[in-house]
Order: sequence, then C-alpha cells, then structure tokens
Amino acid sequence: MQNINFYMRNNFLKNSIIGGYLAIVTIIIVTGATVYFSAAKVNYDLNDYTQRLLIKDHLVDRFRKTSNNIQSSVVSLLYYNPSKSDSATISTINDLVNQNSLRLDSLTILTSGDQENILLYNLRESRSEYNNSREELIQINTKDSVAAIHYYLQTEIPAYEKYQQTFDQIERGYFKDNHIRGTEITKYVASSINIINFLLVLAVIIIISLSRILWLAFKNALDSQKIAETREAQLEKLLEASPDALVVGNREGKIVYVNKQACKLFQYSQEEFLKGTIEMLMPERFARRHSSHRNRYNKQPLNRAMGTLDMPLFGQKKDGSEFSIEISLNSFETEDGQLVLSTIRDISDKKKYEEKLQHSESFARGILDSLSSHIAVVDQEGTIITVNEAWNSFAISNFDPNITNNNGVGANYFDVCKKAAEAGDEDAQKTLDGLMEVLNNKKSVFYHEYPCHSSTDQRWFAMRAVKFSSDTPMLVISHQNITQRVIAVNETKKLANQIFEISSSIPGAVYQFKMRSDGSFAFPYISKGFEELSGVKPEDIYKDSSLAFAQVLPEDVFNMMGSIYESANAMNPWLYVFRIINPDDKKIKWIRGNSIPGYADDGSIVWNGTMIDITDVKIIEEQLVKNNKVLKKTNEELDRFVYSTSHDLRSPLTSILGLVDIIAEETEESSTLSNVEMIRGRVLRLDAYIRNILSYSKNNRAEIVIEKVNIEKIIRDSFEYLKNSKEHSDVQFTVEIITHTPLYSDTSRLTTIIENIIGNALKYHKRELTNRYIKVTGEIHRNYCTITVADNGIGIEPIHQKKIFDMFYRIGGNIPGAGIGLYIVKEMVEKLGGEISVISVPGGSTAFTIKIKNHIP
Amino acid sequence: MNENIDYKFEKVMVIDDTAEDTYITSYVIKKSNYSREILKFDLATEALEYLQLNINNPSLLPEAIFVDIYMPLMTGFEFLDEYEKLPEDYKSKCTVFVISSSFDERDINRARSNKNVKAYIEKPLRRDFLGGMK
Repeated sequence: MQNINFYMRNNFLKNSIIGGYLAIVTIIIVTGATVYFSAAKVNYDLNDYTQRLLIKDHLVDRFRKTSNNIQSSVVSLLYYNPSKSDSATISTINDLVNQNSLRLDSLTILTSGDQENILLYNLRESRSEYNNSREELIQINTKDSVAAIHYYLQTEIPAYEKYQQTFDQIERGYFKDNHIRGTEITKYVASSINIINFLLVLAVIIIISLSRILWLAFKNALDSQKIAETREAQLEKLLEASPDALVVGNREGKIVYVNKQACKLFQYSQEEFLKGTIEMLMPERFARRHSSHRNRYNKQPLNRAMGTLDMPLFGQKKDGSEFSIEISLNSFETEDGQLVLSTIRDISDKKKYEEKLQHSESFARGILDSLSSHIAVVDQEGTIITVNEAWNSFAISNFDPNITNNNGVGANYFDVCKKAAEAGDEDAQKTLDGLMEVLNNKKSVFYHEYPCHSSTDQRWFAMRAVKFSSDTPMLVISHQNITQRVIAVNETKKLANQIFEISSSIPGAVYQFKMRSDGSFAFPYISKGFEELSGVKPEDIYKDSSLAFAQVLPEDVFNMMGSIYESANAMNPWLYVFRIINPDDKKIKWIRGNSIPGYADDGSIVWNGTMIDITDVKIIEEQLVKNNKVLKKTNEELDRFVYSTSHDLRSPLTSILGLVDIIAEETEESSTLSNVEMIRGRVLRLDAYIRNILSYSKNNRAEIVIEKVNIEKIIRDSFEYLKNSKEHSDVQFTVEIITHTPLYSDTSRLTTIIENIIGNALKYHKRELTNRYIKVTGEIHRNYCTITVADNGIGIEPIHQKKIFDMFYRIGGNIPGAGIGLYIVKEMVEKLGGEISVISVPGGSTAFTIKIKNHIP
Repeated sequence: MNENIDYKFEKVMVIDDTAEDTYITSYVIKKSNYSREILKFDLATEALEYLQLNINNPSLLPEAIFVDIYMPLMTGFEFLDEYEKLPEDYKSKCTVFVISSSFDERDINRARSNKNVKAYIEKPLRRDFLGGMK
C-alpha cells in the first residue's frame, strides 16, 4: 500500500511539484523576458478544483449527448466530483438517468468538501441480478489527475451491437480529446492561478533574495508533500470503493497492489499477494505461458477487456478452485516503471447461467429432432428459421429438387407456396391462405390434409400451423404423414359402400333404428329399398325420422310402438307384422319387420334389421285360413258320415251275428252248425274290416290326446277282448313292463296298435302247437317307451317282412284279414312319434317291437 | 214256459227300433232265464210313457232296461236324460244297459259315464254276458 501510494503520489502530485520547481528554477535563470511565461509554470495550486469540474462537466455533457443512443441500458457510474455539492450531483445524475429511461445499476460519487474530506455515496444495487448482461468497463486515466470514471453500461445482447457502436464513438472521441485536454488541463492548472500576482511575488522574490526563493521552494515542496499524502488516502478509498477486484502488477508480474475485493475473491491476504506474482492468480495451464503474454503486452500496452463468451478466462483461488472471470487491463507509467492495473470480475454465476441456457437450447433442439413430424419454424415474412431433423431427412429422401432446394433454412416458405399455387396447386393456395389467417390471428390453428403422391407411393399429409410468439411472431409448421390413416379410412369407406350396395340390392329394406335414452328416435341408416316399400325416400327420413311411421295404418301404430318398447325392455328381437297404406291409391301392404336390438356406446338402443313386403304371403295366408275352415267343416262332416256309415253297416252285421248264435244254439244238425260257423267267420271279417277303416280315418283326423296311460292294462284288456275262449285257452300270455316313469301317450291309438299286434299274434299261431305263448315285454323310459310282442307262431318269410306294413298287403292263403291292420299300426306309431320293427323266423317265431315317444309333461 | 224256473228278474224292458235285434236280445234273455217277462218297445218315447204311467205301480215296472242308442224320435241318450227325472226310489232298484252296434268311443264313453247305466253292451247280446251279470 505504501508503494502504490507513493507511485500514485508521484503520478498525481509529485511530478507536478517537481515540474513546478523546475519551472521556477528556469524562470529565475531566464528572468525578465521570459517572466510572464515562466511565472505561470512556477506557481500553481493543486487545490484549484475548477479543472476537475471541467473534466467532469465534459463527461456529463458527453454522457448527456450519447445516452440518447443507448437503448434499454443499465448504467453504473463512478463519479469523481471534488467540488460540487453532493445533492446537486445526485440530482444531475438522476435527471439524466430518468430522461433517458436508464436504469442505474450503481452510482459511486467521490466528492470532497472544503476540509478535504472525502465522502462516498454509493447507491449501488445488487449486482448478481445483471450477471448475464454484457458489461463494459471504461476507465479514464490521466497521469496527473485522479479523476476516474467508470461507466458500466449493461445491455441486453441484441442491443449490444448498437450500444457497441455508440460506445466506440464515445471512446474514440473522448480519448482523443482528453489526451489533448489532459495536457491542456495541466497547462490550465498553471494558468488558472492569478498570473499577475504570481509575477509580482516572483519579482519581489528575485529582487529581495535568492534564499527567500529557495526557502519558498522548499516550503512549497513541504506543502506538496502534505497534499500528496492526503491524495494517497483519497485514492486508496477510491480503489477500495471499486466493486471489482483490482490488482496492480509491474512488468515482471510482481504484484504491487491489491484491493480488498481482490483479497476476498482470491482468498489471499494482502501480504501474500505482495509476495507473489500475477501468475499465482490463474490455473497452472495458463500460468505457464502467461509470462510471454505479459511481455508481449508490455511492449504494446493497450487498455483492453479480456474474457468473453468465445474465449473464457479462469481465475484460481488460494484453495486451487477455478472460476470464470472477466479482466480489463490498464497500463500506466510510473517512476518505478510500467504498471498494469487489472480489474477482475467473477462471472461464474453468469457462466453457469449461460451453460444452462445452452443446455436448455440443446434440450429443446433434441426434442424437436426426435419428433417424427416434419417441423419448420418460419418468421412472419415466410423465411424458414429452423427445421427439425425429420423435415431435413424428408426433403432429402423426397428427391424433389423443389423441396430440397426451397425448404431449407433461409428459404421462403410462402414463396414456395405461392409458386405452387400459381402453377395451379389448390392445396398450396389453401395452405397459403390458412397460414396468413393464423399469422393475422384470424385463426389459432390451421389444419389441412392433402395428397402428395410420389412416383412410387400414394401418400397423404396433414399440415398444422400455429402461431408462436417470441419477440417477433413466428409460425410453427408441422407436416405429418397420414397415409396409413387415409388408406384405412378409404378402405372403410369402400367397405361401407359395399355394404350399402349389398343392402340396396336386397329385397325389402335394411335399416338401423336408434332409440335414445330420452325416448327420441332416429334412423341412422335405411336402405333405398324402403322407398320401394313405402314411397318415402331415405333422405327424407334422415331429416325427419317420424316420416318412416307416417304411412303405417293408424290402428297398427299403437301396437307397433308397444312392440318396439317391449323389445327394448327385454332386449329381445323385434318381430312385428304391420300394415302401411298408400296415401294415393289406398292400397294396403303388409310389412314384416325383423330386427335385433343392442346397446350403443352412448346408452341408446340400436336395432339392425330388415323390413320385407309380405303382402303376397299374407294373401295366401288368409286364403289358407279360409280354406282350412272349409276343410275342417268338411272333415267334421266326413267324420260324422264315416261313423254313421260304419254304424249303419255294422248294425245289420251284429243282427246277423246274433241270429247266427241263435241258429247255432238251436240246430241239431252238424252240417247246419258248420255252415253257420262259416257265416259267422265271414261276418266277423267284414266287421273287422269296417273297424279298421274307421280306425284309419280316425287316426288321420283325430287329434292326439296325451294323457297318463296304463299300458299294462291296455295290453291285458286287449288280450282278453281278442281271445276266443275255445281256441286260445292254451295260449300262455305274459306281460312284463319295467316302469321307470309313467307313460304319457294317446290311449285310443295305443289301444288300436296293441290290439292289432296281439290280434295278429293270436291269428297266426300254429294251432297244432301245444306250448303256444305270447310274451309282451316293455320298458318305459323318460323319453320313450318300447313294447315287444313275441310269439312262437308261424313266422314271416323274409320277402314279406318289409311289405307287411304296406296298405292292403296280404300274405295270402286262408288267413283272414284285409291287409290294412299293420298299415294302420305303422301310421299310428309314427303319429305317436315312434317306429315299429319286426324280427321273425319263418315257422318259428315273430317279435314286433314298437318304440314310441313318452310325452311326459 | 215252466213256471218253476228261477228267473233273475220278473220284468225287463227292451227298447230297440230293429225288430230282429229285439228278437235276438229277448231270445238271449229268455234262454238265460234272466227275466220272466219282457216289455218290448220299438220307440223310446213309448217306453218312457210306460214308465211314467206306471211309476207308482212297482209291480208293472221293469227291474232292468236294455236300450239301444240310435232310434227314431228319441235316441237312447235322450231317453236316459228323461229316465234321470224318474224318482230315485225306482232308479235305485232298476239296472240300465245300453246296447248298441256302435263302436264309436264317444258313444261308448258317453254311455259308460252316465251314472244310471250299469254297462255298455256291444251287439249282439251274448249269454256269457248275462251269465256274468247274475
């Protein structure tokens, strides 16, 4: 500190004092003729503050002029003001700042009052806030003046260029002027003292005594020493007031001065600093080559700033940690040789922020490039500012020279569209219009789908454009390949057309009917066939679904709606026959609706089905009903006729039988007896014939009456009824029915069947046999019942076995029968839902088996 | 006729419009010693008149009636409806048989289901049957 004070004192004061002495000595020697000129140089007063004011005023004036050109800037000022009142200075600066809409970062006013006391006003705000901003430090330094002014002009990067220009102008103009002015000031300092007085004093001194002069000179020297010491203290305070670390080194790099900020920043104490060199403040890799840099700088010492975004500089703290810095160098000559003042600022926070910014930029870029959509950003003129990787690779793969050449960054997208539109591309015109609408805020989004076929593939794209507001409005345009979707949609359309085509060629109408949860209904689809049915066009029904019901016969509407609700409630298929009436010719058509309900996604019920014109069927049906009634009547009449006829036929027969019985009882003659028996045989055969005819007609017409049947009783009763006590007394008759469950069938028919089979078994027995038998076995199951009647009679020849169930088939010989019995049996078994079969050994045995359905409820 | 023969009934009635059948039925009744006397009617209306006329004279009333179904003027079923109106006292002592050449189940069932009818007889009447009725 002692050293720097000493240098500074030399710089500011001592040189002037010595200069003053030299001038005085020169004046004494030259005398007379040179009195006026030399006298001005001999005597001066360093306390004359007018010159400082001049410097200050000049700068303020300059600032006033140039600040108009500084846009959106933040200003820091260190302002040395030795004489003006503090409040006046502050208000001047404030006025300036306010006039120019500047933001004052810091204002340091260094001022001294009459008592040489230095006062510091620091209005500085927090600095970390502006770390990301561009800063520039200008230091104006004159050899004989302590006046130093710092401009911290902080601006946003985009405005920096303009600022830089302005500042360069200031810098050039100012330094040029001020170097000159600096020397002028020095002269002015001397001349500003009352020269005449000074000359008078000088003349007196010359005249009175040389020793007096020498004494005066000595006294002046003492005075200046005193002033110099005051200046040193003043300077120290100034340097310590700097917000930056200040390090002063000599040509060899040895540190001769540091301020407190430097100690704080590098963590060295002042003593440690003063023992070391500049190289200790930087990382080893820079320190090695720094001495050669330093030497080069010493040869051509220009004031300059170091440490930019492009060329980062690093400082090293005592603990070895590195941090980013900006340095500004100022060299000045002293008695002890050239010294360099380094103003060092820690910008690690700023660096970090910059890195973060870069990172977030590359992050955004990465996202953009990872998207499959082709994305381009264009400005409001249409110039493509940036594109993503997908846009690029599409342009390359597309082999379309227009796109490759015109859609890259820098090209004008609007022009490309315009050209295409002029060539007749309607999509391009649409796109252009749409983009303009988005740009002019008429639309928030523009979306357009268009075909873009290559020579090999059919392709479709969707364009989407949104406005993106940054400093200037921009459009983000994305293209997406939607070929697969379009193909799928086209396929679906094709399929739908196919379905419509098929549905329209189907007779009648195919339709979809929808009933919403609020009860309203609609026809989402109804085929053209409906027009043919009703004369109402499907298009009209789409508009007004009630038209579909308009022609339904009024008396059918209510029931029809009821049937629809019924179908909806139970979700059962809707089957309904209704009538529609043609309003013109009043012709009625019968329509059969047939559809199946299901739930739609929205909760409504949807029926898909058909409507068919069944008028023809209906006419036939009505005819059939009529015919059926007639037939039924005829049938009943026939039935009555058959019964009365059979009764009328039988009645004489029974009389004859009765009379035959009487004759047989009364005659004594054997020939009469045998004749009577022949009559009885023939009568019985005629009677059986009549019975069978009646059974047959009954089977065909009578309804099946299902009831619980006691099959065993029917079998036993039949046998009892049929057997002739004389002829069949030796026949062994057995019945064995296994009953798992009751049998339900038609008693009347079953009786006829059993009677016929057992009758045959009796009829076709061998009379000569002694161990004749008829075995009836059977089993009643849940679903069916089997009954087998087996005998050891004459059997049936194989050639007859298949034919015995035919009508009027007779084996022949003298066996009685009309050949109708088994035919009726077979018919009846089939009527009862069963079948009949026979197994027979001619001359040995026969077994008839019937299998009938058990109609168990 | 032998007065000492043991007859089941003193009087039976036969109602049939066919003379041959009346003859056969009467013959079998006689031969079977089923009744000493046979009241023969060829019209159900006349038979009914006889019953109504003599209803208070039990000695003249038949103990069994053989009635045909299909007859002119009044069928056997119509006769049975009128017979039903006769006093219970008499009906409980009288046995009614329906005798017909019909094998129509409707006729047979209708006859059998009448509470006053003892049995349905398919013509001709046989001695076996009357034997079983003893």
